[in-house]
Amino acid sequence: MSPQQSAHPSRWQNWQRSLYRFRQSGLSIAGLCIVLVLLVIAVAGTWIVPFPDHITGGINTAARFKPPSSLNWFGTNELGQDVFTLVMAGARVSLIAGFGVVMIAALLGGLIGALAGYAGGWIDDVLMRLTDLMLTLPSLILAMAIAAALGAGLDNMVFAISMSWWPGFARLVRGEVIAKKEDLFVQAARALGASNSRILFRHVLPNVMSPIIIKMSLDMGFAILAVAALGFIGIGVKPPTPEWGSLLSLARGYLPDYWWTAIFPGLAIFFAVLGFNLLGDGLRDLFDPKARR
Amino acid sequence: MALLSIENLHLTIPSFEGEAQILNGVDLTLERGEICGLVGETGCGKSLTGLSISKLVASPPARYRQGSIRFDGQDILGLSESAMRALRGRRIGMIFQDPTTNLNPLFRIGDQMIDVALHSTGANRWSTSARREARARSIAMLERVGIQDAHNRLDDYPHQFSGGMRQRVLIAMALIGRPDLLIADEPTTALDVSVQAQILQLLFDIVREDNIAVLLITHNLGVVARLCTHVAVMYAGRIIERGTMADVFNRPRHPYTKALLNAVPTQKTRKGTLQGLGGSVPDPYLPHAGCRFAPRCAWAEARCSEAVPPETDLGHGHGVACIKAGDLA
Amino acid sequence: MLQVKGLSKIYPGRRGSPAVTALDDVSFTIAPNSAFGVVGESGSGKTTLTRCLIGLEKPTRGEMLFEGRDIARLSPQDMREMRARIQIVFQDPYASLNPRMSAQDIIGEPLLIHHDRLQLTARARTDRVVELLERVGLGVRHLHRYPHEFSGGQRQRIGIARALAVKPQMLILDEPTSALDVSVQAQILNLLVELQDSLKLSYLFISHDLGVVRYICDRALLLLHGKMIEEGPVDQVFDHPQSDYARRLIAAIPDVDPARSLHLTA
Repeated sequence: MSPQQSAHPSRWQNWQRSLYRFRQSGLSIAGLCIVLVLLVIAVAGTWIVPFPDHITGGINTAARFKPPSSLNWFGTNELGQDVFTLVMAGARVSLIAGFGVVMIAALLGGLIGALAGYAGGWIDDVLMRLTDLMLTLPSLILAMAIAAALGAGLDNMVFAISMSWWPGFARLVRGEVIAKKEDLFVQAARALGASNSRILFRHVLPNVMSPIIIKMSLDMGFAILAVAALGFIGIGVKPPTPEWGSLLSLARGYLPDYWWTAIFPGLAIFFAVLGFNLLGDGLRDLFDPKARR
Repeated sequence: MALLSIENLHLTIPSFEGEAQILNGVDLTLERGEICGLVGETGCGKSLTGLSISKLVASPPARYRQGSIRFDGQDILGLSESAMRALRGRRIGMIFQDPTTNLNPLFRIGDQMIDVALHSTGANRWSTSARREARARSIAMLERVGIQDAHNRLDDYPHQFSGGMRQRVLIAMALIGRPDLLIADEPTTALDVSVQAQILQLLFDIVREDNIAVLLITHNLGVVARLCTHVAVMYAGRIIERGTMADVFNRPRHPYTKALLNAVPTQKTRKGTLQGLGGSVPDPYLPHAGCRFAPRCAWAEARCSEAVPPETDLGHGHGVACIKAGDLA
Repeated sequence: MLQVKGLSKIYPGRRGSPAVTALDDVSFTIAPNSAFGVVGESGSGKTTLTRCLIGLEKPTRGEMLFEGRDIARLSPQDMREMRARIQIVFQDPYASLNPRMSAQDIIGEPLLIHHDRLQLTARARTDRVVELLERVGLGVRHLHRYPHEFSGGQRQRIGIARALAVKPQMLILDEPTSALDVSVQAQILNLLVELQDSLKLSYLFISHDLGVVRYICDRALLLLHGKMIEEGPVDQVFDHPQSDYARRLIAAIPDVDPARSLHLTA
């Protein structure tokens, strides 16, 4: 057997073992299913919805406030638009925005946290005081301020939320890096004469990826919630682009009579948050060596 | 009747790789006043044997396929969890390897000990007189295990004790219910040798004074030689040689026991002449026939892999599970 | 080969706590191709001594002359070169290997780090890693496996192969067998004896197991609270110790000889 071949069975087996552990938990599987359905909807939503023209602002005043029926599964809103179509289309905006927030926050926070944790001393002090400062600002207010200064829109909203999101990652990564920095294999690398960048990128960071990925999954739900909250208060994606928060906000005025206009975007947010949280918990079980089954 | 008797115990644990056969017919008896050393390599099932006695193996997923554990006549595997809780801490005490992680760092030593003391008598935890009495007993027990000024040290937190002192506290906690059986799983592995010697002396004194039985689980043969009256050598979930310490250590008959004893460098061992034991512990997932040590054994023959060797009694309770035991004097 | 003279390390007290003297005037000499044992309990200064020798700590006073040059006073460039000549094998084979690197990456890492001097092609590096694996009793089939797929003894062999990669003259062995079963310990000890012979290595062997030190080492040093208690040929240190502490420590070592059991002495 050549060395190239021998790598595969063992790596494949690791994957299978991980999958086995993941499958032990029904809730993780439920989370994964919800997230997969959301992804499919986000990618294919605009092609599979019954009323594609409603996504781009098409209206049908003849069919205002129709309750849920076989034609309009989630009913119609004040403009006669199909709520099912809008909720499906909203998935894309929410997911892209949530993912964008988490990615930017993880990259920026991770970089700052890793640098602070690894360098220590005054660099650590300066960076972490900056992080603390960001944490003292109420995140929604900060995001509102940034969005107000830069103007509405998806990019600005994502940027605004990320700015209030990265300190969480910075603190997590800093703590993990400080813990890993003292590990014996890191000392071994140092004793070999390895450079700082080699130690950080080859030895420390790969070993702190698990908690980062777990936090990213858990945070996805809350990022989607934050996006919806900004949409709800009117900063963020502008109509007619459907977004769950702004759909809820518009529907607010028609409660309780036309409950379906609000309940379905609300449920969409609920399931998205739930799905990513369950998935995150499942990933934690998967990565945590102490929880091995 | 023996205080503890384990008969033909089989334990399996399911996992991704399949059913792991952890224990494959463990037989063990222990009388009061005996200190039995349970030795063997990592993964041979020593610790799970110890945990099984106090029913601390989560089952399911683990399953006891066959066999029984009888403690003072009671069938342990048949007892309910609440009946078992009454037994733990009162009649069966346990000490584990790491004295750091077995004490809660957030509570004072005294609070943790008094809790155990109250549990051991089943007293009302809110009664002032019971607490006062439990505190007095805790102080007495701490003094007995060699902690000076126990009266004041009860108010200290675990981090204020050294490793050896913490292990003494844990021994005191295990003994406060005056158990009949003490299970000590690697109690000195994390300690320095001079502290280890003190702890072994302490265990020895306690056995002599209270006439209790101790099951000492360890991979350190020197510790066994120093403290134990009896030895059981375990391999792949089975006890392959048992007997008094002098019989097993001076006249080992099982090739595995011989190999283990030869692997320890002593004063007389010349450089480069230490005999290692090749190979490794068998995979608990693979089905097997015959003697599980045969693949590593220097004396193995074809007939060794035909049937599991039965235990031969060589007299005075010196039992060896090897078909060639007679030839290997 | 290595001459340590009057080595002291004092950690300044933090927040009002008193300063800690981890090493106090320690001197010894390790001859080429010999094994020198350092024995002591926790807090004896064993760890500080190794950290000084591999340049992770600066001693407060004293010299550590390796072939005449003081390790504590090397430029960063010379220190890197020195690291290739004194290598270390750690106690815990579970913690000293990066769980996310394969055996090939782990053993090959020193070759990459010292690439500027070794100038090995990727091909030559792989060949060297395979050679090292075979040297320590493993083989090509282990090249792409990860630490968790190895047993404790095999991991320690990988740790030894990593230390040997850059052809050092001296190995610091920090309790290399204390986490292993006796059967495996014997294999590793014999491997170390064999490697010392064939590669003409010097060992600084740190252990609390006097049996092991006696088996491997020619001379030994006994430390207590950073001070030297005994130093000399192993037979002399263990059979005719001069100090009470040494006598007590030696008596405390459990021996597999049942004649020394508590039952017969109590």
